Amino acid sequence: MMTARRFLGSLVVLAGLFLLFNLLVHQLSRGSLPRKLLRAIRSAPDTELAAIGNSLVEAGFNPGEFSRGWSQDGSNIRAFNAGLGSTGPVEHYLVGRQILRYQPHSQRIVYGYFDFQLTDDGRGPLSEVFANRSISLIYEPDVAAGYLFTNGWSERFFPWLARLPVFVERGSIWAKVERQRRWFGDLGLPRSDSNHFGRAEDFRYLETSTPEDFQEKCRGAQAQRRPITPAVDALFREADGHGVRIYVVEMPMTRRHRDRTYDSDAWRNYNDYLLPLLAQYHAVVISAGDWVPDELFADPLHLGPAGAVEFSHRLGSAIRTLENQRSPGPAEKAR
Amino acid sequence: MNWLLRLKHWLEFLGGATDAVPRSFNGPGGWVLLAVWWMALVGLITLFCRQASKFIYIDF
Repeated sequence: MMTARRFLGSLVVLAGLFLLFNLLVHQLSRGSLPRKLLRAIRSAPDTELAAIGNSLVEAGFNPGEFSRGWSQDGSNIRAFNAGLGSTGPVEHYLVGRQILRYQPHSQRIVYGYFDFQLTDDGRGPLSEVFANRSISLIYEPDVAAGYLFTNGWSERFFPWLARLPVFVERGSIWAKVERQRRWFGDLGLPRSDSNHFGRAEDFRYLETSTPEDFQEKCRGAQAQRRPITPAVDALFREADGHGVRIYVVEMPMTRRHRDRTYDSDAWRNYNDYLLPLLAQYHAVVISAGDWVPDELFADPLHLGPAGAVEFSHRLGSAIRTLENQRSPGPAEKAR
Repeated sequence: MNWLLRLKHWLEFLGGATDAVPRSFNGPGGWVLLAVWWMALVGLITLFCRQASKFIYIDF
């Protein structure tokens, strides 16, 4: 017989078990990638140049090779890769704030982007903030909340949800389940190509559906006078305010991606539209889209280790040459 | 075999196959078992919700 007293007793026990579950998740997630990145940033206070971005930067920026490319005249630079997969502008802004705070010698940032990362608004539902995007919940939820959502309810409760490990780290839990699911799904089938980031074929889903859609989006951004994404704007403003030089880098893409997207007047016009917007932060734009041959890519989007060496060396050399030539002024485009 | 019958009765009750409350539910630990069952459901939901999406980024 269920009495009110027994029901309340069950609820109290459930609350206790839920608390224990949260403590367990908190303990198990101490090694999650956002927390590792935070520790890495704090343990590299001598960094002079930090690369920020998503998985394209994480996979493509090799700090050692960048330094070798930079040191053509014998000078050195301590570079740091702060890229993290499956993150967006809001997370990049929060990472940038950590760099400005804990790496006081960082005089330059490299911000790697692809497609419409610089003008897409990036706001979405609360359910999208998981996995590595939990940076927003872990680093500075109060700051992140203002850039993430379109509805006030999510914005208001976000800092409270940040205190609930089961919510913050749910992506880490799902990843473990997903790995098992893929293992079962692959039983009896030919092994699918996969790398550090996941199944190679999956990354085709991230590409724009057709060249026409892509060009339409380029034209739409200009017609609507889209501003720089608010979180990227905040990152660049704070960096510029600290006297940090900003290099905005169009990340290398495969021949297929460039044929379908970048090799068009619409993309070139869109980039020309961005230049005056980026001038307000004294940013230098570097087009590296065609720097790396297809065979050095690990999947349709990410550079493999050899591709990262090729790209980073050339980027280090290009930035050093730019700085030797002149102090970066208003936004300019370099190759 | 008694425990097996009790387990069967509990599973039938939890699964909705019978409405008859197991006798042990009315015992001293019945309400604790109910809380444990609810927690197990919370855990299962946490583990398996959102697992139907076409593409899940795994690097986290």
